[in-house]
Amino acid sequence: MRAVTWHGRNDVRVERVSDPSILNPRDAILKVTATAICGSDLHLYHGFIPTMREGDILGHEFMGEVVEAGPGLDGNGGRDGIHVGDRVVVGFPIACGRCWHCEREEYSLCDNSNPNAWMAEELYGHSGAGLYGYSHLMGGYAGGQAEYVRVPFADVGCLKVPAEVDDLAVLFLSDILPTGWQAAEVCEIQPDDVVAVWGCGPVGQFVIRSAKLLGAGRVIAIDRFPERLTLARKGGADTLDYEDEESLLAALRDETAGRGPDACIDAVGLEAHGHGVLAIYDRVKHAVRLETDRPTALRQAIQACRKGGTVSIPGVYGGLVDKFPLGAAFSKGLRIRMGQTHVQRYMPALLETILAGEIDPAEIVTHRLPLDEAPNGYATFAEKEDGCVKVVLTP
Amino acid sequence: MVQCMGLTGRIGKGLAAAGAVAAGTMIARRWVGAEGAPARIDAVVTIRKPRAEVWAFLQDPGNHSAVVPGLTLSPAGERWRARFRPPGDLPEIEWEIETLQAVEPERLVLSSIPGSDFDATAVTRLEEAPGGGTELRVEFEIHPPQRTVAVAARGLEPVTERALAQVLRRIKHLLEAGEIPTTDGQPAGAGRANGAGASTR
Repeated sequence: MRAVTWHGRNDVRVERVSDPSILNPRDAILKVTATAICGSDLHLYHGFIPTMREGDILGHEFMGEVVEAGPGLDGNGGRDGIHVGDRVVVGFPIACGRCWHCEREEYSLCDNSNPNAWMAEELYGHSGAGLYGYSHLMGGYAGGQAEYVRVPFADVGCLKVPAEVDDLAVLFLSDILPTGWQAAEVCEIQPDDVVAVWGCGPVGQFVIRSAKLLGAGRVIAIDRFPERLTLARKGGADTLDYEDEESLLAALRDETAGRGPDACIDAVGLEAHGHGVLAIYDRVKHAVRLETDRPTALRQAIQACRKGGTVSIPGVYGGLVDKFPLGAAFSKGLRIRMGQTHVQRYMPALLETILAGEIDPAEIVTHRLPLDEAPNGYATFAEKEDGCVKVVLTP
Repeated sequence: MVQCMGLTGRIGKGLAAAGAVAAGTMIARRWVGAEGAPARIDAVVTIRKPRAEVWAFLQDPGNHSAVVPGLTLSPAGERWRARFRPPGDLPEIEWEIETLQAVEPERLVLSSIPGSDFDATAVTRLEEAPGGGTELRVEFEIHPPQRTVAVAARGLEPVTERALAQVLRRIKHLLEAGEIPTTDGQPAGAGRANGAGASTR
């Protein structure tokens, strides 16, 4: 089959590789019908996530048709079985559904899906769930930017989707729609709340739409790319171009009459841009790998947030940050929520939201390419050329 | 009270973990020096299953090969014979094991027969975890062979502790999820052993 493989910094290729096969009883094999490049894939592309190996197959946003099902997928434990012919979308965390965390619907913290848990334990103290196509630290699983993909624990990871719904309408249930939703939900938004969102990329767009659906009084979206700010306004947000502001923090104080936003959501993560001395400091340290993450957006979110407010972090961070304003967070009594998304918790309800027409995930797609064009897709997305917000690949 | 249970007694977790640490002991034997002090390693895991179920799992010799690749067990009179083929070019080793104490479903003490290639004692404890489940603890005391440098044996402790922890993790995987997560045999691109294989679809 053909698959998108990682070969180093800014080097992804489409190669012929062997087909996946059933390795465990609860595995399924999918024929992929649509797969997307995630903003977090760009962290791999740029070489900022450790433990990638040459030849790793990328991709954690995908859907398709089940073409092979393991013997453990006939249905048990109250779950429907997974069968050949099912059309499914797959959540990016690989979760057993039976451990202490999965019982609490904390699927991204699954105890039983990372074959390389010892690596994560050495770095983080404990291991979260295995992830598709996202480094050997996260399990080393082959990803779904391919013609076929193996889905472990398919009875937990797969959501069946109606035949009449287009791929683009449901593909993002795999990651970025639930990620945006969780990031907003953990803020416990109240009707008059002001929610500020850093980053109007794909996750930021779904944070905006989720915050509105959850009843936010006002959403202020922050970015610098006109097409992304336009899309944010389409989603119901007011917008701030941070390059137009002498001080973003002053602008947010002004917008909230001095209180600060009730919730500040960092949908940027470890490759934040910015300006000023601190941003330059981060870029230099990041470039020479003396700092793994550039927390510009996170610092601003903490500084901007109102006293007693919530800072939510759906953006990916992988290691160590410098100049983290812990004193500000402490003195303002902030609540900080973060983590990989418990995708499977949200998929069924969000599917209903899509079917009811309350959210249209397809509106963020700017580029549809054949799988063979994946290297161009990565480059275009990474450079934000051609108005690129989201790339979907068709095998 | 310590009692010898023999073949009808219990084997248990310590036996499985023995395979993992046996590899470390084999390496230790290659050091030459004075008689060494015992090395002690331990690991613990919480399993979301009742103690009786964990205990029963540990009694099935077939489960031991699953959690310690290369380890096979067979009855040998009142004892058990363990065979372990370490990865790499190290030779296969064998040793016999007797059960010194078995208190179902709480405590199991196993020991290799004096003079074995692999000379160790394992204490396995099963305690109820807060909120349900079982805390499974295994402590090994490994006696380095004669003329092995004690320092070398102690130097292996982090390696063997990781191996032991991995064994306990596999037990947890099997009991909770019904399978051990793996990527062995999955496709990969050029430059990897399993890359660029034949396409059948």
